[in-house]
Amino acid sequence: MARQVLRDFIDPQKLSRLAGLFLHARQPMLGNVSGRHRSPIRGSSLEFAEYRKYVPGDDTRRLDWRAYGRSDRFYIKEFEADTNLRLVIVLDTSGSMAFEYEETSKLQYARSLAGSLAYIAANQGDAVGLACAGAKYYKDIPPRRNAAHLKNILDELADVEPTGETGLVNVLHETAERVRQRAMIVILSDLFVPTDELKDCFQHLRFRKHDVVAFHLLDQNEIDFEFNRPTRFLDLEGGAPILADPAIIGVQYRRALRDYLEALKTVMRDAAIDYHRVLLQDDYGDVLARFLIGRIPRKR
Amino acid sequence: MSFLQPGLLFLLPLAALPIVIHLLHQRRYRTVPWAAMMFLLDAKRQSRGMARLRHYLILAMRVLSILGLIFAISRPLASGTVGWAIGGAPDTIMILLDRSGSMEQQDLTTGESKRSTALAKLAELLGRTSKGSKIVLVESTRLEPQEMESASNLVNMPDAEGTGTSADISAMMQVALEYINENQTGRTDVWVCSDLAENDWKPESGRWDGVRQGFEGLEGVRFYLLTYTNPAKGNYGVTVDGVERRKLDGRSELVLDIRINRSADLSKAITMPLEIVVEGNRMAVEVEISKDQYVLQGHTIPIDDRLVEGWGSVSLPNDANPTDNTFYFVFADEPIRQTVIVTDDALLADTFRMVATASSDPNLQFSADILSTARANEIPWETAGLIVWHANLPSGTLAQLLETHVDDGRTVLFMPPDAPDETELFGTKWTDWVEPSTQEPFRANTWRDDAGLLAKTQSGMALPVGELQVYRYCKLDGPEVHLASFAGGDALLTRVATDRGGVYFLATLSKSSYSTLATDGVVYYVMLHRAIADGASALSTARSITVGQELATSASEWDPLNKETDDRLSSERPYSAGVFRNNELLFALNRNTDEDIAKPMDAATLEPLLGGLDYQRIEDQVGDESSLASEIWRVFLIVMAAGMILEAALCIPSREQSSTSNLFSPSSAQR
Repeated sequence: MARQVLRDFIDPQKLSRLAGLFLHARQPMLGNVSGRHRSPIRGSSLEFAEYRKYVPGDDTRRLDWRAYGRSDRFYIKEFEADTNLRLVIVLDTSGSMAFEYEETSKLQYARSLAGSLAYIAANQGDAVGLACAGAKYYKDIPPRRNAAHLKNILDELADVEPTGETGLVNVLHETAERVRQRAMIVILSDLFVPTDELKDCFQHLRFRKHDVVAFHLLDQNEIDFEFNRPTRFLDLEGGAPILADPAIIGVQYRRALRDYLEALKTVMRDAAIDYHRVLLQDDYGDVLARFLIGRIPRKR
Repeated sequence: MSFLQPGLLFLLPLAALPIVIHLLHQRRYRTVPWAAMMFLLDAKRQSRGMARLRHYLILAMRVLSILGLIFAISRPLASGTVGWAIGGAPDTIMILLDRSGSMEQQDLTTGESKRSTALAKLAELLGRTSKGSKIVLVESTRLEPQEMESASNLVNMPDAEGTGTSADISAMMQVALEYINENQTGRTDVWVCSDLAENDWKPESGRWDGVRQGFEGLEGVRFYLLTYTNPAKGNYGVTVDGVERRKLDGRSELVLDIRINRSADLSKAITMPLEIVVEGNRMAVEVEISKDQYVLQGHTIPIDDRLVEGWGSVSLPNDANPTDNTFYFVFADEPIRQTVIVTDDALLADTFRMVATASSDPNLQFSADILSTARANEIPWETAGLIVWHANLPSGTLAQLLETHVDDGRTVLFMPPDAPDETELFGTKWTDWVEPSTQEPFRANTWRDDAGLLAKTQSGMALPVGELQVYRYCKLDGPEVHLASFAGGDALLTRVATDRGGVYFLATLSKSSYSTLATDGVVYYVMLHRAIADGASALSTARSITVGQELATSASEWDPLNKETDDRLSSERPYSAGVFRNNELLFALNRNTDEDIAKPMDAATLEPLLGGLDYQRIEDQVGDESSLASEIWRVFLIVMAAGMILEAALCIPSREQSSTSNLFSPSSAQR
């Protein structure tokens, strides 16, 4: 009997609003089939790419005789090749993703983003894979492009539970190695990892010519840190709790957070990562719309 | 510190409210699951320094503000360090008031003296702070503790008015000590109001050790010295050193020797009117003073031949100390200056008679009677001014009569007998004769030339005491301080301390085999005539007396001759200058002239006297109107306001705090 999975993290209304938008890669992809994305190799699409001089061995059928008539020289007329992409969604499933201040947890929010992106990608014929990055919970679903695979991914997203310390750094390194061809890597995490370690991960991914997107999930309360009395903070990743008076340590907390965000921004810029800070209070449909619109390629 | 609303101090525990709230706040924590622990750990590590200090400062400012408010509404009283030292009303407050003449130095603009300033301030202070305390006054003239109903009486009670006397602070301290011991006064504050004049404090007095030790053994006794050591500016003092009524060329006149001391600016000469009053008749004399002292010697005033006795005064214009501006004198016919010589040595008696009757003043009459020791009981006690006793010291009735003679203010001069016995009189006895071991005679090497029989003459010339040669002298067992002494410390001439009269012991004789007293007659003559004059002064019907001296008659029987002194209580008469008649006796009371040269003690001299006692000195100024204790609630309100402002300043969020809220604007969600 088929398992019934609740997929309330995907809002069909929001998806229908995004129906006219497509997920574009920012760099050429090496796909198996024809698709919506540029390929680094020339192909046979209708879109003209360039002329180049004929060299012996070229297929004479691709000679542009009109150009020969005008210039008395042989030119080969080349066209762009369109291909599909591989979308790998890396989801942080550490305990810290369970943070919820009002109703929505970080993981819930990440599920919505991941599910919607997977749906959009699958809908436009791209392959979709999923990697869950938790120290205790690790799951890897390689990218495939059939509808049944999307169901597997959505099921997995519905099942995933936040627990333990983060395994984001290891998962990112492994993903960089495992996904051999160019792919779009979308990271959904609160990124509470030292920036030095993140820097290595992103450089590794870029070295493998992946198009890396990072959705940095934070809650407004984590930024404001406004508490009116002493508070015992329980570590969601299992560390020792801390009893502190926010009136005393508030300034230092905010300074540490600001320094971290500045450093992270620098790391993202240096590694040319498509970095998005996302507040849980933002509507994820709007976040996705901004993201997709921002990726629409400019006219050549 | 004392308070006008001390009941409100029970609110002081409220100052702990911020701390209590803080502690409760710490205990009432809530638990929050948190993701961004890495920043919390960082913040916790950094907040151990300034941030934590800032937080505690905020807490301290809140406590300070509440304290300031409570103290302010409790209406604290303080004045400089005094206020902080006063720890609430004691059980007993003793006021030792120096009423000496120097305490009457005044501020000419306000007319307030050192004494009146001290009393006014003490009255005001104690009126506010001494509710429930017993107040006891010990003033310097009577040395008797008087319990007072209210501190406000200090300013107008006759027993606290100015006098011309000297004070003895150590004696006052002794009285206070005895009162505290007898009455078990509990926690006691002793206020000493004085100008710290050396002649009043007598730092050399042997009484200080006992007083200090006595107080050291007491718990809860604190001393406050309210001192006024600034000397008066522009003060002049007048003294009449001699008054003589004489007849010259058939006309009667008074001869006055007047001295004016000056402590004002000595650089310029000043002309000053001098008012002389004789029997109510006034006359003015202008004198020009250019140095620190002016002497008007032999100033004559013609008087009626029928005026055989009377009174007068010499006055200066009002200045910084009114007590030394007037000097009273009285005059009368001089009595016969009768000397009685008791000796069995005819040669000595003749020499003595010759010296005693040799008068340098034709207006004075001298007589000398010689009695053998067997006829000593025939001494005319009523008329004899000086008795010279050259025999073994008497005992029994004769000794008692001699003591009565001295108590009447007259004089005895003892000379050593050839064979001294063990009899002792006036605490003194003759011991052995001493002769030099070499041919060199004994000579006096130290003698007092400032007062006594061997003092300098009026012209300032010193007597040639050092030139006297002594071949034999008789040692004395008695006083240790002498008027003249030999190199070994033995006395040549000594005076026994008595309340009245004079008792002298001369250690050698005037015969040529004993000394050169007779051959170098100046010292002998002057010495004997001064002793005769001292003794005769008690016989005169006109006497000049220093205030504070014990008198034989009650002041209530005195008839004041000067109307200005009429309004004083009879009990106060012996302590201020004035002229009075008591039956046949005329007497002029004048200030103690030691007060004219009152020099304040320095801290180094004061410290040994009170060292080891819990005392605090408060230096004040004459005429200063500031209170010893003023309300200082404003200070605490300022403290409270400052605390609140600081607290608010410390609570202002730093720029860093406010800037973090901009880190996540909606536009930053997508870079």
